Amino acid sequence: MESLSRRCITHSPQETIYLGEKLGRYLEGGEFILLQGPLGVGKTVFVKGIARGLQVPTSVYVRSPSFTLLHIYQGKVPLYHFDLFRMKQVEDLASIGWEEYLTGEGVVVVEWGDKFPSCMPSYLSVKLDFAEEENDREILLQSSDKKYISLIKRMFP
Amino acid sequence: MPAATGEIVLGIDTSCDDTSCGIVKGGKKVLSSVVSSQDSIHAPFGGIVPEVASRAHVERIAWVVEEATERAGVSFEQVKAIGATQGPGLPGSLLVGWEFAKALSFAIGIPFIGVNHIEAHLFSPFLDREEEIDFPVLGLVISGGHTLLAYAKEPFRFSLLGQTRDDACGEALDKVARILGLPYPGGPHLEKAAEKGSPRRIKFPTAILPGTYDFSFSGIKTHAWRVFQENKYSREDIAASFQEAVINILASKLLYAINSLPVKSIVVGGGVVANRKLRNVLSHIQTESNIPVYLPSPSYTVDNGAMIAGLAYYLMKEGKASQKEEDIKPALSL
Repeated sequence: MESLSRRCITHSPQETIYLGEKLGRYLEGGEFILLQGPLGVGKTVFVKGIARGLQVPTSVYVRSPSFTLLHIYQGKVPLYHFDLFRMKQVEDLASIGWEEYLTGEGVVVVEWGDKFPSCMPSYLSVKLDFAEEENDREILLQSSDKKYISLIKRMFP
Repeated sequence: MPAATGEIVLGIDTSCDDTSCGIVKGGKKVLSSVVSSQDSIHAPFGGIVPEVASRAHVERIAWVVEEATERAGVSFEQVKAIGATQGPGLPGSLLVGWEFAKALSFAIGIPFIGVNHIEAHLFSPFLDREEEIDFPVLGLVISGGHTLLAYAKEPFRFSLLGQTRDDACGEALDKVARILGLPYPGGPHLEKAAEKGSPRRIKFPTAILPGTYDFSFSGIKTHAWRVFQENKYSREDIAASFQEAVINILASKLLYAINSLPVKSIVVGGGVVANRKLRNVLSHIQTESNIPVYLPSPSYTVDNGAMIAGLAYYLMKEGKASQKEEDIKPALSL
């Protein structure tokens, strides 16, 4: 299966926001993004960028949904930010109405989605990791799905 | 109890994981409070279910409400209004409690009242309390999902002063516990580890965001990760110093608010109220400022239906009721 990846290094939270924003501008709704990376690496910061790219007003704070499970933001299309860490079993996903969001017109960003591989549709993977310098982050965009391969190509011509 | 008289109101909360129902008389006296994750529930065919196994609100709600009425010794005919959380919360979860409460209230023919979950947390210190709390009140909500400061000149009309820009403080405590490899639930374990460490060993770059009432905890969380990777300090020291940094941020915003606004009382709600170090700091603030600090009893720090019922009583007294057509508001703010 064809697969494509692009690796970026950002040097500050601001640059991480810019990269998220760039991705956000290429999203039209209906996309599914699997977000991975250790605690404190800046996943929420990246989502903040996606929200900006989707024209969510800057007055809206983008916060971590770890306890609340889901945050919804209104941009040019809705942005659904999930954190599935606290979900224990596949049935739990049903109780939060998971499937409804997959078929909607919004953009779905999921943290800890790899816990439930059978529930994930085809996706764009975004992996964040710490790099050598304190504020550096390595961000890897990867997909083996045609739709997202084309998106990565358009983002990084 | 001064409020042993007054109408009986039933309250339902399904904003997040828990299904809960509380029955409150006169807005303050709690007759019963049932929370799905914490209470055993009498199974309909005998025996006791230690914790309703399903996480689905829809499978739990009828049991939880019935258990609450039984424990309170109250029949539906005695209930004068039903309150339900309208938001903020998970849409799918909110909807279950909201529609259940709506249907029940129309079946009995009593008012149905939508309640703001955050306002209810701010109300929680008023439950089961004998003494009057003087206004203006400064309110702090600290939990896994929320961190915010609010202000009310008169009873229960809270407006937002500031909130977290990233993580909630309970969430930050929990995540650092995870970083340190402590068991779940992280908050209490971090507190325990912190008792054996030095709160001054590691300096955290606390973002105070001067001139605002906003909070930020994400930067110190990342710093905790870095410090842990360095392998220079013990878990206990990181836990103690991190906890100290979180409490410092909360205390500095409280102090900023009481120095900027006329405040007669401080109320604090939410799960992080259980943290003993924080309670010490709050009691210190009370002594120094001469402003009484009111905390909810432990069972009302978590999400519960009693706080919804209590606040719904006062909304009912103001003649507020929700209409049949009204819907949930998942993104509701103060």
